[in-house]
Amino acid sequence: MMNKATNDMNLDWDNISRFISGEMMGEEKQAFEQTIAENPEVAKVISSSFDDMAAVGKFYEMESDFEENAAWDKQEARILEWDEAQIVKLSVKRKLVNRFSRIAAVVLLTIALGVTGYLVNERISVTQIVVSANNEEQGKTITLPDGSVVQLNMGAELSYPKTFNGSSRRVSFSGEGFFSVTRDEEQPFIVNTSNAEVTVLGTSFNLNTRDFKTEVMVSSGCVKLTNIEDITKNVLLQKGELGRLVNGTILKTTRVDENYLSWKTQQMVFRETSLSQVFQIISKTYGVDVKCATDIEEDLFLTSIFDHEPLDIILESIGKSFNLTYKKDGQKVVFSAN
Amino acid sequence: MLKSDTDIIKGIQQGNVAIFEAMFKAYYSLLCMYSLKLVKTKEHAEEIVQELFFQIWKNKNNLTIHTSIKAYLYKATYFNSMAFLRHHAVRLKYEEAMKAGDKDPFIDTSLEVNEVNQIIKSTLINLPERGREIFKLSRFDGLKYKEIADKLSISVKTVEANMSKTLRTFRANLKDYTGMFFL
Repeated sequence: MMNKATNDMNLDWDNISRFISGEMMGEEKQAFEQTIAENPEVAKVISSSFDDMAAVGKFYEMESDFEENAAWDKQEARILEWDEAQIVKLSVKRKLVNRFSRIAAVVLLTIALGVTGYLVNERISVTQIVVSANNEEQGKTITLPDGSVVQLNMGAELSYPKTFNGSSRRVSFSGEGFFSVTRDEEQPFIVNTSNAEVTVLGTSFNLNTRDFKTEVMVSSGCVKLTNIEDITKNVLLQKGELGRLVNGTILKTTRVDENYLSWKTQQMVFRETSLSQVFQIISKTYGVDVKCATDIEEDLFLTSIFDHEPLDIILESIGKSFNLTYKKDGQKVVFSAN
Repeated sequence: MLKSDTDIIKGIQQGNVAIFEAMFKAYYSLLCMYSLKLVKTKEHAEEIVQELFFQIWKNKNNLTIHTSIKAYLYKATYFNSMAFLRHHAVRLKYEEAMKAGDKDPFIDTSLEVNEVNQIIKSTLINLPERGREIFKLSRFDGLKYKEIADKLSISVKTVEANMSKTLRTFRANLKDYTGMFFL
């Protein structure tokens, strides 16, 4: 027989690997040894596979001398520290032109309102303080024990200890909020949300989670976003970058909507923005629910800038521009055609 | 699963820590083993490789790799290990050894990379999580299929199928390197 082809795939690999793994006993083993003796092709593969395993074993033994994970922890600490040092250099420069603040880091968090129930039952302790903003309160401000300031948007909830002990400052959060974090390199500031961990390394950023999605937008400095279900999934974000955690995967982009912080800045910019989007942004900025009745044409676009304008002025000016009327009932606004 | 070289380089340039970590873990121990052949002490080998990765991160904005990442890392490890030897007291020992008429310990090992280890590492990395766990329990912890099945709450059949697949993968990947002297 001149059958030179060694098509491994035709071989009985289940039994070959059982044999190599020492799973065979007694008669079965004898019978298989007989098969090997009669079949050089099988004998060759088994011998080679034993060699493979010997090489793998030798490799494994050598490799375990070098503790890869510990080595990575060391490397990671070093690169994060280096990145942070770059940020410090930047912020020193910024301070020369901007005497604005003693606060080194500003953080904005937005979290799905749907997860609000989560932390209350999980993290109650005598020393834990839970604050929440109800549905009318916008911009409720809390000062944390370390001097950091958190401005809560409606429905947000923050849980923090009376004193920050230990190696880090940990808080839990849901909803939307603007964090101004006091810099303390010895004690990093860590925000826990339902699915992510946000570590502040001296920076300002914006975190937004809706429908199991977490978004972090960095305004300055750098921030680490970690998937708490798989901490190997993390990303270091820098100024102008938006990190997004969706279905356990972290993506990074630099495209950020200019109205991202509108609820806090009270500034809105519309450039050929569709009316439905305009209403969404106004709703978010003013904590209301603006809708349009079905009789309004789809393709209406607005170009305008609003800076700290009262809501009524904005609604009126939109009404005039598009020949619409609106009805306001509490937090609800409905536009309809004249 | 490791990404392509282009994706890895791009990721690092963008400051993606997860990608950098994947690259670090894919090559760290291999490069340490390689450097160890040159510098002879584990601590120094690890130091050299740590420093190499740190320099890559530090210079990520200007990172250009014209060859493959693998070739780049091995080459850099080689040069950094040699530089270390030059600037270190070890150099003296080396010279003494040379004077004493020993064979140059570096000649054979200089740029020769252990391909087998490289293949084993990348095979392990590319195995599915479950398959790798089963394989490690069987090969390195010496557990029986039944014990593995109990430990992981899976059937013996699943263990068997995973082991069979893993051994077959190793055979396919190492085809050109081991078992070649068998007639």
